[in-house]
Amino acid sequence: MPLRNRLKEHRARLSLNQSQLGILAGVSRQTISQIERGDYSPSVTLALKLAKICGVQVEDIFTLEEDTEESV
Amino acid sequence: MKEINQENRLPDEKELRQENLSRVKKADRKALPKFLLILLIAAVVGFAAGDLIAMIEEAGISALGETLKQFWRVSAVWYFPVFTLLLLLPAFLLTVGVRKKIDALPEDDETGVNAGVKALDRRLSVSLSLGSFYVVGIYFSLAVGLSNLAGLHFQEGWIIPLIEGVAGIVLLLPVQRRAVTLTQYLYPEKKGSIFDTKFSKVWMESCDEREKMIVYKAAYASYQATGKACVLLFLLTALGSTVFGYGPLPSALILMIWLIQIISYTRACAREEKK
Repeated sequence: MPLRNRLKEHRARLSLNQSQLGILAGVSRQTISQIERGDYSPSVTLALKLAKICGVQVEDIFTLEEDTEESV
Repeated sequence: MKEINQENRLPDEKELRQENLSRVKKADRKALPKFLLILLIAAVVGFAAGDLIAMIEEAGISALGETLKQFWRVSAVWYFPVFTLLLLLPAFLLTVGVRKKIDALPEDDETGVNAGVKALDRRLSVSLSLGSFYVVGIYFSLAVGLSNLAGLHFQEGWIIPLIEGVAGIVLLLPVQRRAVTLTQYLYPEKKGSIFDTKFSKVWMESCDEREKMIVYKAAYASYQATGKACVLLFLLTALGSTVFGYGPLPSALILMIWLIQIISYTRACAREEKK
């Protein structure tokens, strides 16, 4: 079940580039890029770190595609 | 997602095991005919290979051994220049201009940066791969030189290949260091010195979860490929011993590699399970 994410939106809200977000989260810029493209699903730990950096809940960034379709 | 209710309750462990057993038996029945066919083909190929070897022996091709010795003696000096030209030189050329390209990456254009980094990463990966192939080539050259020593041919058959082998390793070091340093410049979070014996460990520790997953998947693919290669190489060396009479040692070495692979994989699995 693929993940949908709004990481790019939250990153833009914080005026961070991918490299800066990567440094804050302890991962590479490429990993942030792949997460935003949906090519990589982060671990729970990384997802929680990203949510904490963005000041939101994990569910505000990542949702299961089925959940998103149901709510629509 | 389905909601859990009385009509579609989740099965317990016992039911899951029974279900899986039935599934496995069904899969076995489906795959068995193809498996038996492969065994039959392998047996036919084996008989044919045995016949071919008997014909080769009758034709006196075991004298091929002498011809091969002559070939190794003559060719010994050429491996180094050929491998250096075909592998080491391109490995170096791929690193030329990379630093400038890294500095020229458009930092305010994320798509551009990502595409640029990907292209440069591919170049450096190919350079490092060519360097690794070169190492194998130089070791082969050393093996040829040492095998000529057994015949006590005190000519270019062994001295020059040994010198070339050492020269090859010396030439390779700055090329590999350059590729690794450029990779670390491209990815500033990457740590380690290639002269450190713990370089692989330090490098892995500086990889994030996604990069580690790539390494794990690649390692498993390598494990599978090596296992298949060991079977094929064992067959070749075992059949070859009947023609060239070199005994079971080459086959035993292949089986040793296979065994080390199996043991190290099993131990790593056990270690991870304990965590």
